[in-house]
Amino acid sequence: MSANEKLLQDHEADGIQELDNDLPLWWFVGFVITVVFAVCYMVNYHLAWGPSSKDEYRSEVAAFTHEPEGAEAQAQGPIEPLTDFASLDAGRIIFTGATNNCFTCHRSDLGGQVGPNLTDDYWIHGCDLRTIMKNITTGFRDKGMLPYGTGARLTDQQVLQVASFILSKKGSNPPNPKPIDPERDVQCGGDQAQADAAKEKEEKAGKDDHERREKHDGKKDERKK
Amino acid sequence: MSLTDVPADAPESFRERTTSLEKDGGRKWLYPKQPAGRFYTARTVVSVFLLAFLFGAPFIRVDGHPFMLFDLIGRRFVLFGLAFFPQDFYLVVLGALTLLVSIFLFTALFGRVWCGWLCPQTVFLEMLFRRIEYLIEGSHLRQRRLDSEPMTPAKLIKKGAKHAIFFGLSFLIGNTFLAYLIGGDELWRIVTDPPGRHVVGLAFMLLFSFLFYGVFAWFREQACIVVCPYGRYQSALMDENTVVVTYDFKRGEPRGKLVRIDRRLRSNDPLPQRGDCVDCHQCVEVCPTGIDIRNGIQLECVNCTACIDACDAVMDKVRKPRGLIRLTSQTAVEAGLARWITPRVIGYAAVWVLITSLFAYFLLTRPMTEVLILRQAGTVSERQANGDFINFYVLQVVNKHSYDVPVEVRLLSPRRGAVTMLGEMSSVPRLSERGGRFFLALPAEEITSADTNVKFGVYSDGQLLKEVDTRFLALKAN
Repeated sequence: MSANEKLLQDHEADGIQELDNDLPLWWFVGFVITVVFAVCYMVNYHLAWGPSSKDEYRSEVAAFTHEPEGAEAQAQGPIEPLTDFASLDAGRIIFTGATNNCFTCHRSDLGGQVGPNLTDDYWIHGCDLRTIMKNITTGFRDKGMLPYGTGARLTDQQVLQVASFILSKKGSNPPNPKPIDPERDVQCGGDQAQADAAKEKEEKAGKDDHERREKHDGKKDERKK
Repeated sequence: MSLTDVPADAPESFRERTTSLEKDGGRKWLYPKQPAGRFYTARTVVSVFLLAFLFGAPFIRVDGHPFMLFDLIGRRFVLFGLAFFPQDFYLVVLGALTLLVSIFLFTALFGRVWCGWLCPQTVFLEMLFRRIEYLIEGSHLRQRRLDSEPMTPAKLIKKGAKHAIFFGLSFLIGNTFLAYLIGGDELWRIVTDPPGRHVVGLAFMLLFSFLFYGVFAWFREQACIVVCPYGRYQSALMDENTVVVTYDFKRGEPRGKLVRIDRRLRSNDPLPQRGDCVDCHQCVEVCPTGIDIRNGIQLECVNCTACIDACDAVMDKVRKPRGLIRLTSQTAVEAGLARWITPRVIGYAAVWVLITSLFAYFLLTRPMTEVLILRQAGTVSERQANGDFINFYVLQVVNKHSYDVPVEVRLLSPRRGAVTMLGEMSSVPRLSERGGRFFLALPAEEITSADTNVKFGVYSDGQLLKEVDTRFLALKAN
């Protein structure tokens, strides 16, 4: 043991002993700061008034996926399709552009190829402006259409321009259009009850599927063969 | 054997605390003398080269793209002209392991060569900041005197100029580091823009510069002693066979000041036995970490070899051979013979050969383009008007070449079918990745089951880049 016994700690490791010198002030203050920070952080985010991870996630999702439908859009009053040349041209540019690639499935003349014909009076998912805008925003993944076509985000104004462009082509009769799908297409405005019934059927099928899957997962443990 | 006759338990011995801290933990500011000699000259040359490389590399372009780039945000790395993308991350792992084993090996052999000669801390501090300090405030003695004086206008000017230059230099270094992250051109664009457009960036740059300034104006050798992990595990990497800055105690002890022997006094007393060390204390004066190398290798010693130069200069003056402090190992001093092939070195060398070969092999054989084709998530199949079935696929191509690469997707199997690209993806620019979609249309006659194997070939200018096997799903309504 050293003559200055107070300098040494009690333990030793493989013959190495540790001195107990005073720490530099910056080190000690830094350490205290980290402790204080940790306590404040813990209290704020996990015990008291700060947003939790779930809250932060929810607000981020809400900010990203806001649709033109919903309370805000309703509150703004009815919307009309744009008819001025500048807006329609902007819509056309988006439709035939490489960022959103609408034309690759719907064709540049909107006659439909992979996606349906957009110029006739038969719509699968609804034909009013709001619905069209919503459908552009959400896409139909299982059919190959990502949100906004390719996933490339569009502003509400741009979606309105594209939807207006589409509606402006109604009745334009392109050559060789994609034939109507009798099981899904519904005439616009004509049979609203039929359209609603078809929509309900779709939703129910989806829900049934979901419930069945949940039950199956739950039953997995107790399933007897 | 004992390197010094200071007993291990003597009060205030060098063993009790580090040289730059007082008893109460306060900082003992060091005023090292500027060394002069062949080692210092050699270090200067090495540092000039390293600094030139550091400041110049972000602005060198090879084939139109940067020579060195660490774009963390865009996840593109260019090292010495070679591009690395996140897909090459396994190389980072191998490279890091290789680096680690190399460090172990050369530290076991040569000691802290990195610390004293190559580490940015030493290069910046000794070769830039301290030289500026010597220039403005004078020699180490004048600096010590200046610090003990009260504040006068002259002192204010000197200190003010020094710290302003220090901060300016830190700002320059910070900007250079940024150039490595975003590229030299982008940095120049930001620099020549009005500051109002980059307020946040400027704020971060000032903060970073302040930290840098803090390290080189104040923290200094504490980084080597307290913070740097390499410094801390030196004692695990070195042993008595490692070549480090060593005081030849066999030659130097017992030390003592030179005594003039008056030949006229014929005395019968035998001449006092003296070693070569004249106790001039110069080795301590030049040490930037404030140690006495005559006590042996220590935690703080970064092998900067300043003491070697100082001692050699004194040895020249007293007409004794140089090398009283030299790069050698303790074993060599004791036994007269250096031992390099030790079990430790053999072990490290074996692992080093293995890991370096592995790394070199993977580095040299890595693919320069990466191709990925996947069915588009969430899709099943569609039917076209003519009855063909359609599946959507996602294509992703990473091009690590320094030139653009044309891309074409062809169907290899089954025979009949058509690939239609969705959107523009006929070429992938250099050093970037592109994603796109395409769909494959197969005639209904080709579909015999719900799940068909298809094979695509991705070609570039007629040359096959990759064959991809994937599936084609087709659900017939009936």
